[in-house]
Amino acid sequence: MSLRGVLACATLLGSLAACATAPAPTGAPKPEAFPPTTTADAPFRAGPPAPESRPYVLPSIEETTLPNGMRLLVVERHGVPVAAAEVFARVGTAAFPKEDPLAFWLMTKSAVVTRGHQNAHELAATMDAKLFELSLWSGAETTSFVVRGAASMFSDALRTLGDLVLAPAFPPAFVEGERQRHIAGIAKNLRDPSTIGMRSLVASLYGDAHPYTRYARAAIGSAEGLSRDDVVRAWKDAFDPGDTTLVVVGDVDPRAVRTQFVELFGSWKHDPTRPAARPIPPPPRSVPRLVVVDRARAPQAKVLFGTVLSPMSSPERVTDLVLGALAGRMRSSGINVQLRAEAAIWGSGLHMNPRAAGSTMWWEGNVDSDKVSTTLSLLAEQWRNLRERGPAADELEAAKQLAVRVLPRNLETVNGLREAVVGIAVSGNPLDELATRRAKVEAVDAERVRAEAPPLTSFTAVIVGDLATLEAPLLGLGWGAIEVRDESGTYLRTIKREGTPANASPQGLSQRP
Amino acid sequence: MTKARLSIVAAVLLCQLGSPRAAVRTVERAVPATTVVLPNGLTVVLAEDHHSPLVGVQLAYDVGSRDDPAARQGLAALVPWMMVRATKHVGEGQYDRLLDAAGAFDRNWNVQFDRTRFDVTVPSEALALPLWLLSDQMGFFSPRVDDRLIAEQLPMLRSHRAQKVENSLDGHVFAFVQDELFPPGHPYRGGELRGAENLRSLSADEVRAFVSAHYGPNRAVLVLSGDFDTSHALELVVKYFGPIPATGPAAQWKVPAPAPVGETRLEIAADVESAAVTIAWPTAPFHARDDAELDVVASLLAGSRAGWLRWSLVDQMRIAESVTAEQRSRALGSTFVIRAVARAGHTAGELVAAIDQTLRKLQSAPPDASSARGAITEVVLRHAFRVEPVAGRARAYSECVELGLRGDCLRNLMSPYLTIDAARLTEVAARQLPLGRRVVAEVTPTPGAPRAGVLRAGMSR
Repeated sequence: MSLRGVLACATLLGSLAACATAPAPTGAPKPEAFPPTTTADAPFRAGPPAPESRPYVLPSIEETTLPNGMRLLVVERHGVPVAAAEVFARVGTAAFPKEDPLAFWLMTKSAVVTRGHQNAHELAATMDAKLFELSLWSGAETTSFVVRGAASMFSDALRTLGDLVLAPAFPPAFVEGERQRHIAGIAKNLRDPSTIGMRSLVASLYGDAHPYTRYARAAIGSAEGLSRDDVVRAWKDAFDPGDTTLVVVGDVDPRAVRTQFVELFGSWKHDPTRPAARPIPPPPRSVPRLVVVDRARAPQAKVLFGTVLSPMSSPERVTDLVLGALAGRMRSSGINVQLRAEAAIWGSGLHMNPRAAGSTMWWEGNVDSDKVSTTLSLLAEQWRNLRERGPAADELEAAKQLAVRVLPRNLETVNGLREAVVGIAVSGNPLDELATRRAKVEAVDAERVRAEAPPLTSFTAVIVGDLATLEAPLLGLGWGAIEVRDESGTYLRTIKREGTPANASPQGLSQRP
Repeated sequence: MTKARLSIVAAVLLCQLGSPRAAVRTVERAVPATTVVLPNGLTVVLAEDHHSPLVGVQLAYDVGSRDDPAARQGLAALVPWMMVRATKHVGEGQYDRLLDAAGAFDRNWNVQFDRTRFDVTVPSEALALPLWLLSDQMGFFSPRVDDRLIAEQLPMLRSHRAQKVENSLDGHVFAFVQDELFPPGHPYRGGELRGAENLRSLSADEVRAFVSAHYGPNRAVLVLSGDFDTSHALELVVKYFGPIPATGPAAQWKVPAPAPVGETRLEIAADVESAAVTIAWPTAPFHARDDAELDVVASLLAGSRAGWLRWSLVDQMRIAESVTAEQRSRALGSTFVIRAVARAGHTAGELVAAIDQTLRKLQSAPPDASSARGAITEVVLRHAFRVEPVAGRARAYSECVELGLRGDCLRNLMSPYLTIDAARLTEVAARQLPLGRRVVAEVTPTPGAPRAGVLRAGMSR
């Protein structure tokens, strides 16, 4: 039936139905007493409908490199008149172990006052007039500035990005204001159970002295003693044309973007005095198994159960995507079904953070205190099964489908598209990574999943909850001692079952059942 | 369609800001959404747009926690938990398995005061799947309801509420505040996410009766937004939803707006490190006069561009570590909420005094042009980007039907923001946020008290 025919029938019948319906009463409603109705069944309802075939063309990335080494990656996509861009350095706080990670944080916050914008109000006025947003990021492995806004005026947003990278003024009063703002927020960073748990998880998985742990703890650093000189040094450390990439996506003209790219960054010179970025060391081989951050009388606990997977540049990253779907990203995965049935867990999820020295993967959920040990046992059993038996065929197939079919969703908005392109560039993967994803996922089989599934000995469970309630059931798991850390992730003490040696250290907790 | 709307927003805003010569692209001709009412009363909106190979689907029922029977508070929140578990043709666990295998995402259900919404986004090749699943919920749910299903889903409801309300200081405090804002008998009293304590011994017959009364096609809006052929999509909708009979008509709620006669102070003790305050006013309903202005006032007070309270309390006075402001728009009455957490050594009383000082300033004279412009821009951009994904557009079209907005939906939703000026913000702040008629909840750090807080005292002034 044609659209016109369908509409005509539906509208006519709808009008008749509307005519037959009396106007609804006003005032406080009375309890309903509507007789139950029954819908006539039909054969087509017996099973799910088959999918139709609709091809999807993945976006392609255009690359330009300046003589100074700076890269431009552009993805042109029209249809919605918005665009997004990110200029990022492929180095972050982890590459400069002598620097305070907070100096990088202060640097990105303070860079908004530039030679082009004398104060933050001027920048805000530009953003308002040109309809774009700005966000700033200082991470362990990247440092970046991001804009998103109306495509028709996006050249102004790109000009602002250039200004932030090349001409920050770092006025002392402004730097000091941002430093004070950070100090005001420290207490907040010490309260959120998820952030608290993550600090201890990273410290346990990578070690207390690892650059990732330093970064994870930076948010609660006092910033005492940090000066404008530290901020300027962080800027010089972070940004060099050879390590910097501009990603532009959305409703833009690539030629115009390339022209502006050359105008903005073509004359940027490499600084020969810039210190070399240090490689990030791999995580230790063994980690403590149970970590508790005490939150007295908390009725629910925040549970994180995590491990380290392949580095983000590894060919096995694609296997990790499938592994992640099996281990909790799919709502229908066995572990989620079990957790809902046996521990009534709502809103849990599996997370992945791609990293150069080994990516972090962790399950996270809020769990009633009396269900924590059950939850951990179920999670451990799941990983043991994945490693020993591999996934069931139907579950593996669903996980593979999800790893491929999630692409259009991830790339739907300009921000999603930008993040995907930046992710490829940061990991050093080839630019056709999106286009070849399907074939790579198809090649993942149960054996590869088994081989990539980490051993249980590599997992750490961090529980932010009431230690008095949790102690006995956690020790009853037989996973060894409990390491107690504080909200900052700092080791405090060890609790063991009676009869175990008294002088155990955090390193000694790596014994496994 | 989105392209046209965003460009219009940009153009209007630029004119308003005095930069009409700024470049605005030639807009594409808007493609209007098609709205159809099926004979059984189901309203269907089809917004075809091939920007990405996805379809956002939303089925919104005109039923929410306001409809809970007096003795069964929480029933509306429980129903979706059971609907996604099993229906006549969808077996146990099949709902999630099929959607996962199809590559569906952003799937959720949400029970608000006035609506129950099921959302899902699917690759366009799988458009028929959510229609099959959602129509089975609408037409074939009751046969699967039994005591076992109820018993298995009640713990999920308890867990959800525990996480969002009972174990969360913010959630718990807001629950206290809402009970003060909405008088006994008001359908919003008790909050959106109600507990399961009234659902003990709930019978399958009670659930069936509630579902039969409320979850029919004539009380629902189905929106498809994205990559499909309108004619084909409508055929599928008619196929799956057309045979489902109508149910009882929606009740027409008409309740007086909450009108506090004075200020109510709540004292809450909590085992936390920092004092905090929540200040709340009953305000204009969703999309009514003043609602849009209050969105902008919230941005003016605590947004990232103007952020008067943030600048004052956090940066200048250094008495707060964080401040937020929000207009929570609802059909029968909204709530404007300001929250602040004190820095160590400062009290909730100090926060209230400082917040009031800023409010008095706003209520006595229009904000400077820069602040007003920044706040408006922030809100406009937020709305513009909200409708970038198909899921956001599906939600917007659903809201337009609920509000009875005819014509160009996305533009109509945005238009109230485009005529706001600084003087209007002052006028609305004075009318909607009176200092003497509100609820103020002060949280005092108290070792040994529950972390999520306990109400110590409440008094009206």
